[in-house]
Amino acid sequence: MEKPVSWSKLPTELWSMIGKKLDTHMDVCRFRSVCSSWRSLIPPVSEFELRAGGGFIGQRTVCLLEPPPTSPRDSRCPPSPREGWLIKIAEKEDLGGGGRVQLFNPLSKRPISFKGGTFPKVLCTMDYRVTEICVERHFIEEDEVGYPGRVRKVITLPDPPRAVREETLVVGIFGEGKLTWWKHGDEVWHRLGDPNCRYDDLIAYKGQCYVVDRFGIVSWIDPSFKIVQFSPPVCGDGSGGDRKHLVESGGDLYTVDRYFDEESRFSGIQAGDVREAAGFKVYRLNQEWGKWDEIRNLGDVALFLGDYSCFSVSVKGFGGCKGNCIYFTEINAWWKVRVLNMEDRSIKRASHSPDHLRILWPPPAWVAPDADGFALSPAHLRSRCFS
Amino acid sequence: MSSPPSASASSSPPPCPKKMITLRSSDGATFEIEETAALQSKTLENMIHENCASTLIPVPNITGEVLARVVEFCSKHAEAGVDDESLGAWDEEFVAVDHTTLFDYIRAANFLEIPTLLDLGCQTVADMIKGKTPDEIKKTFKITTACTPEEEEEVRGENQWAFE
Repeated sequence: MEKPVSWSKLPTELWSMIGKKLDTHMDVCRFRSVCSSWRSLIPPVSEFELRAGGGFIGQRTVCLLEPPPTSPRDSRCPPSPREGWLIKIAEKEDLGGGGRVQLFNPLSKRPISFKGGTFPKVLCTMDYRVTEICVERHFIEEDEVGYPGRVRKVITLPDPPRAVREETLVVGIFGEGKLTWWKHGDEVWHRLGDPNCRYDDLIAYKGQCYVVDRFGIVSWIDPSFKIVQFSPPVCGDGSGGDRKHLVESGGDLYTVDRYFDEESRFSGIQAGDVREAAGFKVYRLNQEWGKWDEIRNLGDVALFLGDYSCFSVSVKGFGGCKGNCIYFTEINAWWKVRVLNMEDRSIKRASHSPDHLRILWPPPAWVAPDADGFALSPAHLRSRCFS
Repeated sequence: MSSPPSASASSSPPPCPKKMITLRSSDGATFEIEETAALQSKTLENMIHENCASTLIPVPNITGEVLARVVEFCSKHAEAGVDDESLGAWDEEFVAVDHTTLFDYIRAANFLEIPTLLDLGCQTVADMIKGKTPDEIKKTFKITTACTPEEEEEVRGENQWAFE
């Protein structure tokens, strides 16, 4: 048995150094909740409203909620399976703060409301382990002049929570794949990159902005706003899919190549039409060799390709919740949540695959004790949230 | 690796790269370390420059067991030709230790002013905090002090989600 460590003997300035290394809003909040001394060491995360060229940048946070582990158990017993609930929340500013939040489907902008009162009105988050998975940004158009068109996806740098309004850079994809950027103080957005190039996705990775084009070439945006190629195309022979997504998992950068079904590939299809997926291929960037490795098995990892963010979640040790899959929404049909099982490459509706739905819905009993209510009448709520 | 300076070099000679320093721990154990590796510690750097004649430096605050590992760390980080990824992996293994040892590393790095080791130790502790509830954090680090009643009220407000 290890002898107890006198952590209290660590000088305060070291606890300050440790606290400053926490990089999510939730972790900073937890640190500040421990005791008076720690509370005074780091300031609270300041949420700021970011106006950007013709609109606002809004924020939603994807979190994984878990019950805290129970008291030390007999180490001879096998560990009980982990449980988790993946949610997305946004602070509601219009109701004057006070921790008022709105729940969303983690993959889209679809809000989740609980009419009927079986969900607690207030949740004390100190009772749960909360891991921030991803902070996603979205653009809310305000006036008609000043923004570049239908903004599909945006990221901001530097990452929250240490972002400072005056230093924030916003990079976005608008229309059918044009890149644009905006910096605090600018009146308009600026075009970026090759105008003939179609950019499919962008991501903040290791503090920089990376973009992927239709061929799977990943580039990064350097401080002078030049696009610098970072990888070869995903399929050198042109046999790639129809839409690329960038996602980070385990510190590595992945491209997920989405293939549309036959119907969606017909020419003449309009820009806003629904395009259903027929399959996906996953590639991990081997940075040492500068090439893509196709990954056919994700192991304990589940990838989530949402409308506003792409992220990964490790479900290692989770009971009844499978990894090695991709959750996604159909293009231009954000209400259709599907899951690709990497084992057999089948695609199902999330609501029709209990093993995969479990992490999303229903709210677990340790959050909403009346969870039976959700299980008993799943149809109407499921179809509202996870069709 | 560059070749050693020739005899006719006109710049003022840096300390010979192979010069060895001996460190003596609180319990009397001695360890040899190359001077270039020792210079990673600001404390040792000052002592070396103040006391140029002697190559034996007493380190009274640190036991032999911990000092041995600190010497290993500094030597590794002073090695030429190690790429970032390998060094990162080595660092990860270095701090995969029990809490007592980690605590000792941090205190040693603080006393000896070794920024790289201090940073690594603090990051490891931060990683232990991530995702935990405040109660779990208090238990892990045996924090017995609390917040004032006013702060408790604020903490409650900051740690709650009110749904419509």
